[in-house]
Amino acid sequence: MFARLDKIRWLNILLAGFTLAFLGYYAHQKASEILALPYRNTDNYIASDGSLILQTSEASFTVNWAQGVSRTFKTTHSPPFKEGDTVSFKLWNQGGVFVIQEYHVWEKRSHWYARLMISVPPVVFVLIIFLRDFKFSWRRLIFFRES
Amino acid sequence: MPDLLVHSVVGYLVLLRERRKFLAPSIFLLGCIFPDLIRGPLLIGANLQESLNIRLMTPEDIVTFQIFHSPIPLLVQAWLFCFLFERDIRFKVFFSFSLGVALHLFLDAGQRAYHISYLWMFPFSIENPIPGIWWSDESSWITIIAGLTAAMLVYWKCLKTPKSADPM
Repeated sequence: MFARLDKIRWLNILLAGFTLAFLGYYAHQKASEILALPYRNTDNYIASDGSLILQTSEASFTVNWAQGVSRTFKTTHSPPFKEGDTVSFKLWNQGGVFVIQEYHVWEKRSHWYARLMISVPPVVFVLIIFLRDFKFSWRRLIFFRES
Repeated sequence: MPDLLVHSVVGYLVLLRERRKFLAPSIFLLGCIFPDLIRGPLLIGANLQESLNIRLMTPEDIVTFQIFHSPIPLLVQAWLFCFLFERDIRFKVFFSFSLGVALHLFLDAGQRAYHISYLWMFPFSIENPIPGIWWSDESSWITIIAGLTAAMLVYWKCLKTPKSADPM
């Protein structure tokens, strides 16, 4: 009986592991399609979730675009960001000239690392209370409740 | 992503209200941070390779691992995770862990993205149905509130501990 239950457990672990591996493989196959999402034809709108600004002028800006090729957008107004910024933006195409409808300048990478550091204490805290409640049996490869 | 301080504090606040009969608190809290335990190292790798101008992984590799933060793959991970526990608590583990993951995803859904975001519908669709409310680097005020709440909770627990049993 015990051995049968353990077989069911391992069967489920293998099935779940196989499903995850399949999902990962499927994502890898779809990767080019997923990565091309920002560059597809969306009629009058063009948006980016974060592009490095290579150059700006009074009425245009140049960004890193699909496959590392740069693209220049002519704008109706002076771009409100500068060279070197990483910017998310939404543009409205008006016959080859773009209206900047929305934009967001991303914070510097050093800020991101600072925020990452804030995440370390909660991970330690949660792992401590988890390992206080449960102990791992290396022999059976299972977590047991700490009595 | 809101940082893990926000995710764990919100999870802890839910635990204060939720009846423990249905939840395993430590598993629920682990579920609250679990999606970023996979995504975090991936983001660190992606940021490091840009900062240092080296190639650690291809964009295809990043997408491959990114889907493990999507709802359906996370549900499969909860399924796998619950079978690492004894049979009599397996359902409670699955329920608590999935609820923690759901809370994590609910908070992440507030973030803005035009295109890719968290691939919410993967593997059925790669479209982004959730536009979000704020950009992820604009959420510092949430972190500050979460930090103050955490400090208050620690203080409250210190006051309470001598009189009653440990709430966790």
